[in-house]
Amino acid sequence: MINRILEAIIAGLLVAAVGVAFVAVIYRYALDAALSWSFELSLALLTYITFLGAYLALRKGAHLKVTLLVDRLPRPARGLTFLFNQVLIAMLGWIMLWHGGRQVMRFADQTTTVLEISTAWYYAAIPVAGGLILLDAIWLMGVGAVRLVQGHEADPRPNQSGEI
Amino acid sequence: MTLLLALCILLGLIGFGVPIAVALIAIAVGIFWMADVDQLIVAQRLYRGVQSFPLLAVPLFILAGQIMSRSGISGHLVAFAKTLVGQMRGGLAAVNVVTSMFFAGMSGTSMSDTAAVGGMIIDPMVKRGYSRAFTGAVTAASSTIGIIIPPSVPMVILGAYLGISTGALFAAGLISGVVLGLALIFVAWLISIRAGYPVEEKFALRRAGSAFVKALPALLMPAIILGGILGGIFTPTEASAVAVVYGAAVGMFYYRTLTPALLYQTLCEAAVLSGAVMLVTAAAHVMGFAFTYEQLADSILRPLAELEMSPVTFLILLSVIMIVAGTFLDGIAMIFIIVPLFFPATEMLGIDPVHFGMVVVLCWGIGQQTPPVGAALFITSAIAKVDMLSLTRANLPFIGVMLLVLLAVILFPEILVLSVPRALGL
Repeated sequence: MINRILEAIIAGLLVAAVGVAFVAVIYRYALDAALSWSFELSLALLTYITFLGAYLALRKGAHLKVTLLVDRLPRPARGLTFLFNQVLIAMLGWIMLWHGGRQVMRFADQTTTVLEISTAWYYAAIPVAGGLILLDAIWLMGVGAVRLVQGHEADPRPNQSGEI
Repeated sequence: MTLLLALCILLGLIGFGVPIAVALIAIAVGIFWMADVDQLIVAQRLYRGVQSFPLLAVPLFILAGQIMSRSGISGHLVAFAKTLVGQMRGGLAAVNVVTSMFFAGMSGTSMSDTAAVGGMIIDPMVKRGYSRAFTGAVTAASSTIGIIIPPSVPMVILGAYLGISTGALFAAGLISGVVLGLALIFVAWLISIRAGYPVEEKFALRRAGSAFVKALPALLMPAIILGGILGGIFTPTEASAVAVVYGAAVGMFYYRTLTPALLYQTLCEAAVLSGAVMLVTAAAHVMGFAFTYEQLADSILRPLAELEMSPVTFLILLSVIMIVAGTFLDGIAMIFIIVPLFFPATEMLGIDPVHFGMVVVLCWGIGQQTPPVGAALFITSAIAKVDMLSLTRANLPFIGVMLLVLLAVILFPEILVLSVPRALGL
């Protein structure tokens, strides 16, 4: 369910990013006018595509990683590495949430040059994604520990790690 | 010493299956913690890492490649390529490479290339009597052209990270990519003569003409992307947006194979892969900053300066390191770990950044071909139903020819790398 919503949001952001860049080209050649706000908006879209997309990739087990060694470990050991990974991921989520939140506060009174909206909206992508990542990691730690004790594969998701 | 320790921990974490982005940040957090720096810097650098307009081309080229791969145009490209090179000995092997080259001009990743071309031509090749191992090897090897002929997601990332013009890298990649493609066709031809593989229909201008017309809307896409970027009409980022719009329009209205549901599915797939790739990019920015802050790269730079290496020796040494690392790391991790350590030395040695970038991208491509880690191999071995070992054995001649092209690029940068970017004033 959450995956579906996230997918829809990010798909929308991607379409918007395509639209903004496309319109900017048309403006420049057809109307001979530069689109002043396209640059700022594009960067905002990219920021949200990156961090929300990172959370989605995490939920889908699609982050770039090397599982070569881990796949050859016995299942209990592999379960332990999975739990260890969740601790590190939780740490990343915490840093993004806490320090990212501090960053939002610090720049809340600044506005962007063209659109004149608060830069807090730009920075907010990091604590929002960070909080979600933290929750996900804690949840997976619990699920993983239970599954490990019950003698199952600790990681409940199939590995969908991609590559470019 | 600190550098060595940091790199060992980093490789250890990655070996334990920690997502690469998380491992990169963990190292940075450790370095900042030891230096007693406020961890706010991590959030700040993470944000800064994506505040780059050129990087927007990463999700968009990923999307464009997925759209073209899903819209079934590769069938028309295969048919057209068949009329061009089908009459060679081992015609379908050459068709495989040529189709990959066309496809590389619209997609920025090797994976969409493998999926699109491999799914279309592996079965016909096996039916015509090609060995599964050889079929898989040609498919895997030629899909690497996907990141060498522009557009190329690795070049966008590298360009944004090192401050090299993406347009110049694209222009340079055009030469290397075509040279590599021709070299692969040559090797496939030699092998086909020895194995007695079949030939396809003879070249006929009329047949080629009609196949060309059918494939034209697809073939126009690389022309628009490359012409637009190299001709200075639009930036690589804008080109990626144009590519998405054009690809979706052609797929939906001309070939009518791309349904709205399928388009939405490609958007979702692109969202996941973009998130994964972009987080690594942002994370690398954090780690790069930590390394710079602690001046860790100096510990490599100083000994390099004392060795008084020639540019050629330096690039060969770097390539060896990257190729070895590329066997067990995927490309994006490899460049973010190794490249920042060596890039500062290029200025000292007088190596053109574009030349350096091309060497890195070629090593990235070779890394995709070498097991145990290499997604091109996994996908093709699954489609061609051949085990990794036989596939790799059949792939050795192609890897060999890639190494030769890499060596040529290192030795003759003026012709093979810099001529086109300079002629275009990039």
